[in-house]
Amino acid sequence: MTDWLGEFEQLVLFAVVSLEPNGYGTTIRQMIEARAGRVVSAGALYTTLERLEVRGLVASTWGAPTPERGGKRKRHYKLKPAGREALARSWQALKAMARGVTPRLEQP
Amino acid sequence: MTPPRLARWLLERGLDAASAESISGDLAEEFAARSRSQGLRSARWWYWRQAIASVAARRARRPLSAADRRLAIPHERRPGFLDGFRHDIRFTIRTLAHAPAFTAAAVLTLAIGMGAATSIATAAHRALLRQLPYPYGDRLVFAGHPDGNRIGNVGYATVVDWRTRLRTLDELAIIRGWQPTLAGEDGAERLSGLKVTWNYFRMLGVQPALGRDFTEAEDHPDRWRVVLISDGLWRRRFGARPDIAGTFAEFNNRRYQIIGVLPASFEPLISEHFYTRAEIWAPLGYALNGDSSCRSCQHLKAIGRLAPGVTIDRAAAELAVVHAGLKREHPNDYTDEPPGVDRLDREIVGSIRRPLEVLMGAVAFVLLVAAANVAGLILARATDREREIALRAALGASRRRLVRQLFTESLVIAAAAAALGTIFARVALGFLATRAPVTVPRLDQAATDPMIVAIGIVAALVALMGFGLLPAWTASRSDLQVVLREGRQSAARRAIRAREALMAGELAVALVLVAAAGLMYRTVDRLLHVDPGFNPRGVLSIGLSLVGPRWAEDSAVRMFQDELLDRVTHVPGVTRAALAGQIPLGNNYDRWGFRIEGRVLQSEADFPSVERYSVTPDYFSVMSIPLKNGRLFTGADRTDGPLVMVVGETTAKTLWPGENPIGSRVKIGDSSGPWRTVVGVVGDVRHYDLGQPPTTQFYLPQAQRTDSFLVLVVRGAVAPATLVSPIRREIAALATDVPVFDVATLDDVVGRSVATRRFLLLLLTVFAIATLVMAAIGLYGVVSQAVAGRRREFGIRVALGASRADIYALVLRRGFQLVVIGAVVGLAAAAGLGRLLGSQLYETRPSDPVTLATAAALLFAAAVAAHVVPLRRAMSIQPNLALRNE
Repeated sequence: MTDWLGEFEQLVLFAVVSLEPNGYGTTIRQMIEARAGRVVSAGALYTTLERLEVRGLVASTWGAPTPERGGKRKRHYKLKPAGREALARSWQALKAMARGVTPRLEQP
Repeated sequence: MTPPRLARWLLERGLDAASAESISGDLAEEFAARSRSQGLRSARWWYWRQAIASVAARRARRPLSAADRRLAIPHERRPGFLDGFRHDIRFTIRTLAHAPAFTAAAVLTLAIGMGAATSIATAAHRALLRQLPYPYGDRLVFAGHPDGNRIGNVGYATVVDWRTRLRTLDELAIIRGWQPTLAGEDGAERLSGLKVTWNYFRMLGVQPALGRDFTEAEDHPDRWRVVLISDGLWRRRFGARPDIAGTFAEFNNRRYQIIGVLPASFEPLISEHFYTRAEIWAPLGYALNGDSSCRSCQHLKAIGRLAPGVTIDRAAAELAVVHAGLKREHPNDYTDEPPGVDRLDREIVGSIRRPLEVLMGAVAFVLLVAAANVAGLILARATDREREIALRAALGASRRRLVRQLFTESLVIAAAAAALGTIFARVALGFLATRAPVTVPRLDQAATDPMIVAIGIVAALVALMGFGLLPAWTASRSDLQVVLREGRQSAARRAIRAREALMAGELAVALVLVAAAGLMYRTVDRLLHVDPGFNPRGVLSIGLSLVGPRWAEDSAVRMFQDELLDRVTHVPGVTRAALAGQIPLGNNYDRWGFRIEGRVLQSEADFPSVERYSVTPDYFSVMSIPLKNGRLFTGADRTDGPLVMVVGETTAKTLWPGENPIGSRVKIGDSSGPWRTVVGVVGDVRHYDLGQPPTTQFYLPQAQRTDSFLVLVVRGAVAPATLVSPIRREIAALATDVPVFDVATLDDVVGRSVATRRFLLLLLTVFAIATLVMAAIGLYGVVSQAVAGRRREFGIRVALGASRADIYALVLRRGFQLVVIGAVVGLAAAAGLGRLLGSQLYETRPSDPVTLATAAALLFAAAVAAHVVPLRRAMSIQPNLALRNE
């Protein structure tokens, strides 16, 4: 069965790839906010990350606790091969669909 | 700079452990960064939003289960609980906005009820439920020899023995009033203070914010000239100097060392009866061999602290045993009656306790009536919407869904009412604070107590949830087919019946409150018409205190007195002036043992105690106290003349039954004093309370028994208030170290003595009016709904020739059935409630027929008013329109 990605999932995966291997909640969220202009709650982000993990697209590892996090550990995310494949496929599909219409979508 | 605690808690509770760790860690990190770059406020705001949104998001979309994993349907948005809830709220707000009249009525009614409930609950809580504001407040007790129904004073030697013998109390302290004079550039000031044994603050669990506490060595006759002062006094008179501890200041023209300042949060003990708001404390400085230390020198108050885990009953039992032992050892000094002990907080609340409890009950009623009214409104609306609901049900909305929708409506109304009610409560508390008697402390600050606000909100929610469920339940139960087929007639009837039951209850409650207010009104009215035994009209009273080395000799005080009276009587407008050690209703007590020559009594304690007034000769004429027999004092009754006294009528009757007291000789205090001859009998005055019968009283000439605390009473030909400044000038010209205090007209003094009852009257009146108005509004709603429901019937009747009066009768009959039921129930309840007010009533029976009849009449009047508009509407029914309508 082929995995298709939702739009928000694509954004999350792009952020995870760019931040690899050290991406974690805050940096991922800040990147999505800065580049895509989407403000999301930490809770919503983790819901998506966990779903992606369940589907075998990303993997996470626990880091060490730090005082500025109130003694809480970081959870680092990186892409698994299946995730890389799914993101590539989505990106290809988007590019294919956008062929020829891109100029019309550009902001004037 | 940590994230908001509550929000963090929300995260921990709202999320599973793993995501809680990563999410709250992320948020903590970014919170720190944000509070550096954008400030704490905005960071906190951001954190809250994140926390709420995160929990909501996680709740709405739980992580995938195994089944989800198999299906791998990733981003289908399944509606979760919160989504439905959000939808319900949005929907409710939209529907409520379409019915502004209903919404306004519901929210306002509930907000008024809530505001009243919260403010009174706060006031009562402040006054009686709250623990004493000290670390050991819940263990403090008050002990002393019985004095009527109250716990009275003890002698020093007795307390010393108690302290060594009692095991149930781990601390025992003594307090007595102390009013030192503080001289200053803008005139001398009399301070309110207490003399306390050195362990007093230790017993309360309070430590000075600056400096140190008293030491045991300082509680000694030669070493007690050290004081602790309140934060307020420190700021007011000592410029809040941080180095104040250890410095010296003059009180009563003597040097005292200020050893410390109490924390700003420290609240002094105050009560209706014996404490004023103390600002300065000094060690008691008694020793067992002192003049005032004897066992029968009962002028001290004992306050103790229960040992951990000890109940008040055990302490009382032990005290009775200890007392029995002391009585055996010192048979002449004690009566058989054992001392009383009670929780200090109860004692401090005093006689206002019962009425405040009544008020709390009244408040619950008001809230109930408000909630019933709103429930009635919702019920009526539910009836109107029955078809809509039935239709939605038919289209597939589950019953649960419908109930939830109606329930949400209650919730939204309650939330709006809670917000508005909190504002009302604040306003009401501000108002109450300006009128409360001194025993209800810091009312104005109570409104900011978040706990109180929370209680109010929860109360409103609980009330509404209960009532919100009722209509939701009845509405969802209605049979869809019947409703759709028959129109809303039969269902409406059912709902109306439920409303009518609520309505009768509301009317009964309103009647009870109106009756209670009426009883209180009669009481205050009667009290103000009681003859106090003196004529307060046109008399000014001014307190003076002559303490310090300069006034140590009585002769110095007497010279001052003579000169002052001479100067004051020459002030234009003054007709007469006199000085007295105390005046009636002045909240002072000065009772003395009274030994009549030739009478033999068993023990010291059996001698009657009689209220003493030392007065200058003109006192009786200034106060208009009539002479009944013999003569009054004259200028000739001086130190060198024969010692004389005048007694009150009750004293003459009770202590010389069937005899003429004139010529008898009496000793005051202990047996060592001189004999004084009774020369006259005067009319009684009411000393403690207008409502209490006159007590035993005697008078001595100031010249033969000189006081250092004096009350100057002045009768003038002009308004008393205009005499204040010229008299103050005369006092200042005579002596700069004599502070002037308690300046009041005697009319005010008399008025103040009924202040507690007046306050109760005010509260009850406000409640009674609020409830009556709410009940009337509710009745109006019920009747209007009934009229609306019977439009068709009325139309037919009119078409068939029914007259205006017939329709009137139809409408009124239904409404007044309710009023009569409500009145009967209410009257029965009112008689019971009146008994609760008992201690505050004066010459007014709880079942006072005039009051109850008046209350019932008011209820009927309100009911008539509630009928006016619905009657008009019933009359305006056009038969043809009404029939075409359905």
